[in-house]
Amino acid sequence: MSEERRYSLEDLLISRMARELKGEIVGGAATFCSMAAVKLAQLLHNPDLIDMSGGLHHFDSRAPLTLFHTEFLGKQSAKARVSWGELFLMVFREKFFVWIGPAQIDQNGNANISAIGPWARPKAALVGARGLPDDSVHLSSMNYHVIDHSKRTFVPRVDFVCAVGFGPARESGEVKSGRPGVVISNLGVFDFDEQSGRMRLQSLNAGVTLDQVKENTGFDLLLPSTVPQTDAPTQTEIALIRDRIDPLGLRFLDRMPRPEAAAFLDQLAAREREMFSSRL
Amino acid sequence: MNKVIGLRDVREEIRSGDTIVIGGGGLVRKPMALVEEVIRAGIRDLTVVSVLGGPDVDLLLGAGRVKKLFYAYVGFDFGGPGPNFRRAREENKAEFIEGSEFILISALEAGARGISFMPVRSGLGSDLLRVNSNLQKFVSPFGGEKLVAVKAIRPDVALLHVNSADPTGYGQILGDWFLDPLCAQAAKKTIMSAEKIVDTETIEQRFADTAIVKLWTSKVVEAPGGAGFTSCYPDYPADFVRLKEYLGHARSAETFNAYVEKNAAGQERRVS
Repeated sequence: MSEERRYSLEDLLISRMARELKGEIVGGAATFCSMAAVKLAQLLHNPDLIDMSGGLHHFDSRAPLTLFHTEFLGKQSAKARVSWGELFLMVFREKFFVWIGPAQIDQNGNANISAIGPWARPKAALVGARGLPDDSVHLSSMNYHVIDHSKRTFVPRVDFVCAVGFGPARESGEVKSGRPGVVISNLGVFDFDEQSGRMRLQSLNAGVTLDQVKENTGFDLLLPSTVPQTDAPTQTEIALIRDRIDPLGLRFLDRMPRPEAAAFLDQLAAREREMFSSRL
Repeated sequence: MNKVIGLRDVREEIRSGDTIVIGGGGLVRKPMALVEEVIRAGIRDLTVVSVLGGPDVDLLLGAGRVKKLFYAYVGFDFGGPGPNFRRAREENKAEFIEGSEFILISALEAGARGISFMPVRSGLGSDLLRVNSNLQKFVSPFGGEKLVAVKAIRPDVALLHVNSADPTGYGQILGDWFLDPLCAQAAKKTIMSAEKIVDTETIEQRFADTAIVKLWTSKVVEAPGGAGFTSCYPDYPADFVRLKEYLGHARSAETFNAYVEKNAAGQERRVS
């Protein structure tokens, strides 16, 4: 194996996502890799970044990724207790950045986490729109981590619009903020052409071909004349992720198959109890 | 005023057909002991309001007690959508009214203030406006901006679980408060369970942790472990073994019935 491939897909995703978190803002995340990305950005590129993963009672705290103890580990490093009312003012004043894990995203950047099929009688009901209709009309941009790049997730048109992409609502001026920003998947990195409002390939992840992306995308992507490769994570980043940010390996849960995840979670619950019970 | 009642007395405070709002969020500090008592008491046809629903909403749906649900999310965090919520949505077993987090917050704020709606930007351009008639687009009288009017929700009862409460109804939350203060302020009455009931002097010693002011509280119930298998910082983290047991039973309506029978509906099980 060549030198530059001594990293996991997770390392690559975390490294790439971390680079988007710029300025004195709050970083939020809905997938394990993107949670790690907020922590990596804070440690490496952007000391001004606020990690909110410890909860609003331990605002701007520092802790490794855990599944069952996120509320518990921030006590020594928290800077404030913040209310949900203030959290939404941070959203409204564009002081918030979030990596969302959508079930569907379309060629114009509409995103769906509510239902597959007709909303009133879904084929598969998902969690509900959550904060997407808030974020997508207030933030400076909407950014997505799609765990499993396929024709089921990259669709011509989402079944239900939770987050607003390019289209009539933006052309009419009704929606001004929260335009689609960066989309990262296991296959590559994508952004949007503001003129046409269409999704564009930005780079291919290591080992992925253009044909593979085309075969797994349910619409035609805009393509650059030459397609670069997604930057590889550095040795420093890989070490930080492994040793300080995610020693328990939660980042691998994003795309772990179900039976394996069940066994992993059993072990994780036991390990966390062992590691943290003295701190409770 | 002494507001302490037993868990079993909760059934006198809620009626079938009531609108209840539930505190906590996802797998955090859900008032599971109170929710189980509602089920045990045979209360049904509820309108349930939950910004971030978890096992509370999922259990009520699985036990067939929900007529209408206002929600932005019903999930088990890393465990995905609530399994009974998912089944009820797919089989159209209740009336579902979906909003966003801030839309639900705004509906409760309007209810708390006693006005008919709140103006928000949330939801513009989304399909929520297509499926939720409690959201109406309107033009601002000041400058012509398009906004969304969110219809007020005024719940009959708020159900909350806190770390400690005194008999007069001060409630202290050491972890994330989520929207518990707003739930209490919007509802006509609040029933609050607590890990422990303490005297008022103990409340004074850490008054900055008081999330719920006594003015909003109607009844206080002592319920150690009252968050069930959800977490209650710093008292306990989420209980993965019991969470797995729940999810295992929730795979089908039939197996879940057995779970409800054993854990909630069983007569007099938890009566002190």
